[in-house]
Amino acid sequence: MRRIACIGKLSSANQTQLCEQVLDIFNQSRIFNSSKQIHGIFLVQEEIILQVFEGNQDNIGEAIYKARRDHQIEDLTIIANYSCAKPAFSSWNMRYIRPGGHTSQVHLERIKAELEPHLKSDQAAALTLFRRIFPAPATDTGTTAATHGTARLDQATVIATENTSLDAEQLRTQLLSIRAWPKASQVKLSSPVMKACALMSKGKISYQELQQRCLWATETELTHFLSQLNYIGILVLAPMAAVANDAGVANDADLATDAEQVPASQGDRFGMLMKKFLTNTRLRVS
Amino acid sequence: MTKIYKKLAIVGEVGAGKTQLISTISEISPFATEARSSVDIGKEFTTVGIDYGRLSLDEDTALGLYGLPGQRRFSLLWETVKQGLWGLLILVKYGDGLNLEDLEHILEFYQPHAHGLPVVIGISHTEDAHEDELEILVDYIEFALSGHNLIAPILPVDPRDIESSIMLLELFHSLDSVGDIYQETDFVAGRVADAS
Repeated sequence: MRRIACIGKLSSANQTQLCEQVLDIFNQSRIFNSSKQIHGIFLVQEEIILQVFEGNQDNIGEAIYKARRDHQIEDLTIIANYSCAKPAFSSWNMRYIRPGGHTSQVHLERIKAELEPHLKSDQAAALTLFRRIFPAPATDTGTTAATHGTARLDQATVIATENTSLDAEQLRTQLLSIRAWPKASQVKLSSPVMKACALMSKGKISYQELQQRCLWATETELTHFLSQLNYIGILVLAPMAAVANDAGVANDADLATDAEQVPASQGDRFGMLMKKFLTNTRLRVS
Repeated sequence: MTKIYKKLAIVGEVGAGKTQLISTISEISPFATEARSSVDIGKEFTTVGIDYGRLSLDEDTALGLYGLPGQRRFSLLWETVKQGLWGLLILVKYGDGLNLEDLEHILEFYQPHAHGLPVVIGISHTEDAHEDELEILVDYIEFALSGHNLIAPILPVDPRDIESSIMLLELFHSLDSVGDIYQETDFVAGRVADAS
């Protein structure tokens, strides 16, 4: 069995076109590779596209030939090509994964660890692209490869993958947000989960504020939930001091002001009645 | 007391389950604009206009449920529910592949991020879905949403099931109730529309 990794760039710089392009390329690859029993990875970060193929060498060759002829991909270069005894990503088929998406940091670390020892040293430009996704170990300061990318984007940091379990002490100094909602298969969408995710998806919120909402009976349950999100790779933590002045931050003071200045509005009344309806309906259904 | 009337737009392609969802949630028989389909779309009747349902929360407060076709050529209908929107539910039918162009048009039209409008994506017809394929579809949608700076819940939904349908309302309620913390006051005020 052969494992071949290619890296290239998407030809469009326009965000909407980029999105369509990625989905188009991915869909074509998925259909072709599935018919040829090729497994592997399809990873996109910004305009860089990395594909890892596992399977019969001739079939992979055909897949790469097709990809190279695709006008939507530029400079597709093989950066690793070696035999492997067994597939490392067999259960993934041709999954589309994206740093900053749902994919766990563990998966990204796994790709990096798998390819790193086999990288071809004579492909300087391609390796530069690879390093943009997976920074070299020497410059890696403890966070994961994908974390570097998202840290630049969000000006925030993510707790390292090796320790996804979080405690209250750590969390008290951080502002919390999520980069995606958890999938239904990852976390059960209970009422507290919905409320907490709604809060964190709208902006950054302090741990204390989240705690004050009393969504869970105990603090342990809250930290467990946040650890789960961290494990999935969707929790974003930003040190409080660094972003305290951001307009999007909901801190205790803002919330107190909101509560004082905005008495029961029409929106509140609607919300209250909707809550009552949902509670009653749930009781009736169960 | 001032009457409050808000709207939930349910947009989706043919066969996504808009009419069924409204029928499940609505207290009144949905006003459906169905016609016999002239081509084979897997069912005899299809919606050719707006489906309408209603959920009264008390005598002065109600939520209107509007089922709208997802294709861009129906954007005139999208316009009719733009004012006083409480939420935008996009129903995607599993198995047909994602029509990215339609999704883009819907998001461009309503601009949920700019207006702080809660969005939920429901994937219907997932009973026999392969888990891996479903995850790919969720990734697809998530990727498309990120192009619009949107983070929204994407979940399988069964429009025939009351519990599944109520969960959608609960998600909107959760998203709506946190809106005041982060959104500009002018937009929040604009989302409350008196019943006419």
